[in-house]
Amino acid sequence: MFFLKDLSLSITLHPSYFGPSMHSYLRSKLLQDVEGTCSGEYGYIIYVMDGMRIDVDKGRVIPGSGGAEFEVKYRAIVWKPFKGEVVDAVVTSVNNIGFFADVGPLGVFVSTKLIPSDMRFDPNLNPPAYVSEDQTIEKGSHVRLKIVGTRVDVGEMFAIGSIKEDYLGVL
Amino acid sequence: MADTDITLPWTLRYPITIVQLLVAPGTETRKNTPLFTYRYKTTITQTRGLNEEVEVPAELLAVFESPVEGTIGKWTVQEGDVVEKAGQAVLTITEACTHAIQFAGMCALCGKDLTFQDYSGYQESERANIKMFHNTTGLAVSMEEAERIEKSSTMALLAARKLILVVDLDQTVIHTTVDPLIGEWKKDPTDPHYPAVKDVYSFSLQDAANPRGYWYYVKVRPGLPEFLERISHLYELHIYTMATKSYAAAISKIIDPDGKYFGDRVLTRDESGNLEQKNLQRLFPVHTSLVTIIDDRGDVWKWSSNLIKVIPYEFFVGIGDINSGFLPKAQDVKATGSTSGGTLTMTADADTDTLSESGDPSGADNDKELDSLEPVLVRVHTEYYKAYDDVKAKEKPVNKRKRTRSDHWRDGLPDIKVIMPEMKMNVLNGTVILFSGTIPLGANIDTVDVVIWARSFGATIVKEFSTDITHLIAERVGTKKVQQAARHSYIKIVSPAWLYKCLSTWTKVPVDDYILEVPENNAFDAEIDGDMANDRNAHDDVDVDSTDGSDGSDGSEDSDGSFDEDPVVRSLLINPPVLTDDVPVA
Repeated sequence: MFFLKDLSLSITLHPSYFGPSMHSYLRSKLLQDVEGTCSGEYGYIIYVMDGMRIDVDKGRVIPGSGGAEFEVKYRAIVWKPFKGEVVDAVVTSVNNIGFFADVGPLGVFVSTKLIPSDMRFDPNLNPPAYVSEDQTIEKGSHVRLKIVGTRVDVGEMFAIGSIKEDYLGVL
Repeated sequence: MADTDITLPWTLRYPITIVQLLVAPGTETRKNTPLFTYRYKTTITQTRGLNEEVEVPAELLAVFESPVEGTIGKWTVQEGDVVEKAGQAVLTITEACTHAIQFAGMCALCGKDLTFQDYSGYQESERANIKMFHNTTGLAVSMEEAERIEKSSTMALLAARKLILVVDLDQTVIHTTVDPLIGEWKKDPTDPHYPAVKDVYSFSLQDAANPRGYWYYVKVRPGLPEFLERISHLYELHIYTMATKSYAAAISKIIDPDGKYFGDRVLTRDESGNLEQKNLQRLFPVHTSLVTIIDDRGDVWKWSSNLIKVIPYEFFVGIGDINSGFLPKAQDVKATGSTSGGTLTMTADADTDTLSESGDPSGADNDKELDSLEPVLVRVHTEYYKAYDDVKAKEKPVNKRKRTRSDHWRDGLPDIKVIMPEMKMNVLNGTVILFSGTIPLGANIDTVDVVIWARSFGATIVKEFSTDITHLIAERVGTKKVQQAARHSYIKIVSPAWLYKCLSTWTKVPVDDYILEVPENNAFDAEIDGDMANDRNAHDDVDVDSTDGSDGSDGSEDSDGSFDEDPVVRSLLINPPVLTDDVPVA
């Protein structure tokens, strides 16, 4: 699910960056550091909003080093997948116990147990695919799936998906 | 829903006595619910007086907690039973999910996070610890699940009458170099080297370390497209390479543009989990009786019985395998004697201006290895399915009467690990081979690639000259062993090419084309040789003594049990510059 979230980050700056372009440097450093990252609390930070209106405080010189620390407040679009959420995904690889799909940055695995039983794995097709009478899931297919579990690792997230319910499957 | 036998872990202090069963069959249990209490014997430390500590035996009571969640099934122990050791099942619990397939620490069936650890020491993530999938590391399955998967894939293969062929990339089906000179030659049709490199493929790869990318130049082994096309009807093809994932993807695009031979069955360094060894269990954890491997390196497979070693493909001579950085150094199988004649000679030093072209000036690639490999693979396939049909024919009547559920599906299946070595052993059976001038002095012949390779074909390799030998394999005729052998007319003196031909075609080829001509007046030569050798020996001894202390690998003294005693070769290793002037031209 997407959220609009007010977040903040403290950035430490070396004295050589102090000067007129300090604020624009802080902004670009912020974008570099947070956009595309993933944390367990907020999920993926997709986009930092209002690039020109990021709120940078006055800053505070750190005793002993000469550098300065700035508290940067910003508003971002974050995306966090939840258990039970239905999402659209692109299939990246198919094997005999299920298939992998990407929901944007999130890798999802859907095992055969969570694929409708009328879909059979056919390894002899090129590329290999799950096929039923009216559906084919192969690399590149678009599927709608339901997330049945998520886990956060350092800097990335994974999920288990299911297409064994009504209105799920190939789009 | 599945029944799980709860077995006792090794962490308990055995023997234990069951005191009381705390849950009745049919009740629901959560993880860490007490299941039973037990007594065990131990010693405890007691403090007597102020600081005197004594160990006293004691019998203590403890509680065993449920490692899983589910419905209690049947108890297999009773109150008062004594359990002597770990591993005994005490009861069955019917679980909603056994977490048999796991992805990135989650159960792929129920979505539960399994990475947490608690005080019981029982880890759910260990229930699925087999990684058997090609292009992912995150996916793991339990032993039962692996067995089920392999059963279905094996049955499908048997029904299609196919075997599995695991293919190595570098120097087996292709040869790659990163020399930019090749790119320049390729661009310019007027360049004298152009005909040789015009069908070399190129691609560039970028990574974090090289954002600008490296250019790779790939020569496909002659006849590969036809080979893959024909062999893919008999074998399911897999790639197993020590190269990186992106490199393997680029190569498979070259050798298999439509993805119809290999599909997604590509395993690379990024997923193999081992940088020095290749292991069939990584792909086929349960059984490997349908698997054959082709690779130019025997040592990385520990000379597995499933392996068909091929002669390394070396188009860019001197480059070797660019992806073997983590492997032990390949032993030099002399390309001059082998059937694979390299076409472009690259000097190993950095000065690329000294690149030269040798061999056929037209750039024709004379490598014929795939032509001989294909019949071998066809023969293995034929032999396997002959054995399989025999087994099936015998099995049928038995089948109907007493096939019970416990009958293992693998029982009675013919095994490549038995069939292939048998076929190989017959090839050079009865051949006694002595090498001269091909193996470095002081090398332990039991670890030399070509020796292990030849032995797997039934040949006997000896270290010293004896009258039992049937074939002497010599690089040139000037050596002492050649002269010894020349006195016995039944000993064939042949070039190494003969042996490589036998090994790659799996037949004992006639020696006629490979006989080395020993000069008539060899008695005279031998005398001169001996004199010269003696002279040099005196001089050498000093050298050897002076170097021995610092460098044991020199070990070329006869008393070290060195393998090759030829004085000429000896001096060649110790004193190369002198040799070029005064070695007798044979």
